[in-house]
Amino acid sequence: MNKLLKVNLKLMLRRKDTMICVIMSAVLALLEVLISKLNGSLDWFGMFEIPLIMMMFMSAVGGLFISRDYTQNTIRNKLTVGHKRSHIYLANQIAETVFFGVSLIIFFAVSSAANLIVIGAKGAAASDVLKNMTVCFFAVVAVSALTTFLAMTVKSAAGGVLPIIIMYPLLMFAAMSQEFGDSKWIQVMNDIIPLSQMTALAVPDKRAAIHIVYSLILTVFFITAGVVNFRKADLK
Amino acid sequence: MDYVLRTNALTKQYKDFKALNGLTMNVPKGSIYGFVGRNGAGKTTLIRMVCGIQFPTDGSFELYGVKNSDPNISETRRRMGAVVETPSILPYLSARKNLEMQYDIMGMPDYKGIDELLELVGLKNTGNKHARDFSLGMRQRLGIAVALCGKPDFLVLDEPINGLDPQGIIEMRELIIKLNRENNITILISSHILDELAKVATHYGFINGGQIVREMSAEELENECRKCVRVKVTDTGALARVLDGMGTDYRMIDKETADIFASPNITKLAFSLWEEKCEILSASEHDENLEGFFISLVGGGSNE
Repeated sequence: MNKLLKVNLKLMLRRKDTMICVIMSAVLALLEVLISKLNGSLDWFGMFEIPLIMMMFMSAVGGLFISRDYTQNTIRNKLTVGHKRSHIYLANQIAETVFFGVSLIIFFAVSSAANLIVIGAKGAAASDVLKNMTVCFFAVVAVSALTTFLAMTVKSAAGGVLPIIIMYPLLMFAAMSQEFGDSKWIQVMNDIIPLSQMTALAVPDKRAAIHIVYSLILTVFFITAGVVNFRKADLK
Repeated sequence: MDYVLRTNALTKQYKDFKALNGLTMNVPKGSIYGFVGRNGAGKTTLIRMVCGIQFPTDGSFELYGVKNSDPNISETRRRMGAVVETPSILPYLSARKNLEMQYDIMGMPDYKGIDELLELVGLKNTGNKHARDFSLGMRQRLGIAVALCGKPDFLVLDEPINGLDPQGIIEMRELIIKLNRENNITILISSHILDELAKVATHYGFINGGQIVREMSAEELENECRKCVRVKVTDTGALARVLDGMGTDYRMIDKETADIFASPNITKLAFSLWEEKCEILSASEHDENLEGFFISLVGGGSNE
């Protein structure tokens, strides 16, 4: 599996779209601080609005990265030389997680540095910010697992489009749930859905542990379902 | 005889359609095995199964004696290379970078051998040109180079000359023969361009409707296809006696037909048969090629 992971990471470094995404993370961090400063609304929790936008294009680029293995038929090169299907899936999953995770870490690093320079350490407890960052990180890992699952399941260029299509109703749900009131099932759904978790990070997260557990469950679920499905799938 | 690949009643069912219907074939070690069949006969389906891209619904196959259900089949596949339908290459990389990636996928310790491979397939001077800018023939050859990365001793080529120009076809033919003779690579080629296949294959498997209808060596095929006079007589027993007496090579086709090889003296033959009270009903020259043989084997109907 290490060989496949090495190849995936090498290809990610060679692809302009993945590299642009990583660079965009730093640019978005600076833009968020700059715009918030100009609006007079700069605080430490403003940064947590951006990962939602990042997820939109990252899941598309990440999905396309995997689906290229099918559209260019290079997945055959891996299977024909005897790589196990579970290893192929997991190598893709880890590469996606690294791509999503590194982009998020760069975003948080640049954003935190900019916030420190502009507003200093005032206005937020470091523990609250770190807790939100942790929740956000696990939510992003869950989104990367969903992206890998979709791309490896549809086995076509649609693997880059489907994650975006799915993101919209999830985001809609997160936004609309504010209007639905305090229904119990809406609360549970908001706790489970990673994008809903991320919309709640504009303030210190009071249910961080639950959110992290749900993200982990979703991650394990998508990886397990993806591997089981891929092991039995007929490819072209 | 040693076999690289043996299949046993291999079946693949897609909902209502049976792509393979109990296919049994044997690819001898060291051969160039021509896998002949119409479009949709099941050639690519079999190749996909051997490569691990698809799974059989029923039946089994053995690769170097390792059954497809054996966990070691993945390891055994390291001994093979394949180009299935289209070459599996990264279009945004050069030929060399494509091979480097495949070396990485295989976990090769270094990139030694890449120059040799590029030389072998005639792509040494392509420099940094991206694979997407290659001609179809160049892409095919790069696909073969990728398949040869692990120094396989079994190469599977699915329709390798489809879409190639005459020069490309000649180059591909020479490459296939070179790989087989100089590198001792057993090659399974599926194709429906029969004239080309006839120039390289040492063994044949004819597939129709998901089943092998005939397996034979090139020698056997040549025997079946060699030039002859096909005669229809009233008494094949008498014909056999006369031909044996003349020391002529022949083959009985049915109760009243026989193929006489070489060029018999028809007058002498007719006279001898008349003495045996056997009439010649018809006589015609018969010369079959691979194409004709295939059509006579599977029938000339629609390929839909």
